[in-house]
Amino acid sequence: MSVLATIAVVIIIISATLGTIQIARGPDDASRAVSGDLLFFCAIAVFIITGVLRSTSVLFDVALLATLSGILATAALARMLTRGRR
Amino acid sequence: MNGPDLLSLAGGVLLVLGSLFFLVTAVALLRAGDAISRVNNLSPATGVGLPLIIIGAALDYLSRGELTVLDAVLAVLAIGAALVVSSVASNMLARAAYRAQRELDPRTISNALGAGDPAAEAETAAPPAERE
Repeated sequence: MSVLATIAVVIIIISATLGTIQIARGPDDASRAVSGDLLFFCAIAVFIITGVLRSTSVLFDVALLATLSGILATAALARMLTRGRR
Repeated sequence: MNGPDLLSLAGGVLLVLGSLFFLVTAVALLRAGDAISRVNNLSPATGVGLPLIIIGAALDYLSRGELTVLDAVLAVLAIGAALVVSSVASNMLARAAYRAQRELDPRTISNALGAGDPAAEAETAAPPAERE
């Protein structure tokens, strides 16, 4: 189990690195916003998997709060892309 | 191999499957042609990868006997939130991306945001900088 979880963490860190590369080279701001979203969800996934490894008790509370508040950053970035217009 | 071991193994396999969806999403973001395609390509990670990881974590907790009823309810709510919130956020971000930049992938067909939409036509006529 812990071997599989470690493999999963490594794969997610690889995809987060690819997302960082995408932010560095992405031709426009919208692409960078999307990659930022991917990094946010990668962080949630890494938290959940390491929480399984450490058997923490707040795992599902944090997962619910993070997925619920994930829209805030995206909404703010969307408003910035359109310079305040909807 | 008894029941808890099998549950733990299934949880680990689900964790790896979910992380593979994240990897597929990251590669798809690098290969996409324009911003709207990237918004579209994000959905495997949020719609399949994250729910798989949450289910895998819940199965592992269940195999150790640590999964309370409240935890199970929170896990189900988190999966529902991941599905609903990420789709709403993708919709919002795709509209903003379309309004911010006009270059679409030439393979794009059936542009519902551009053709026949009076608001979009007016914005095409007046660049955003002059409308401030």
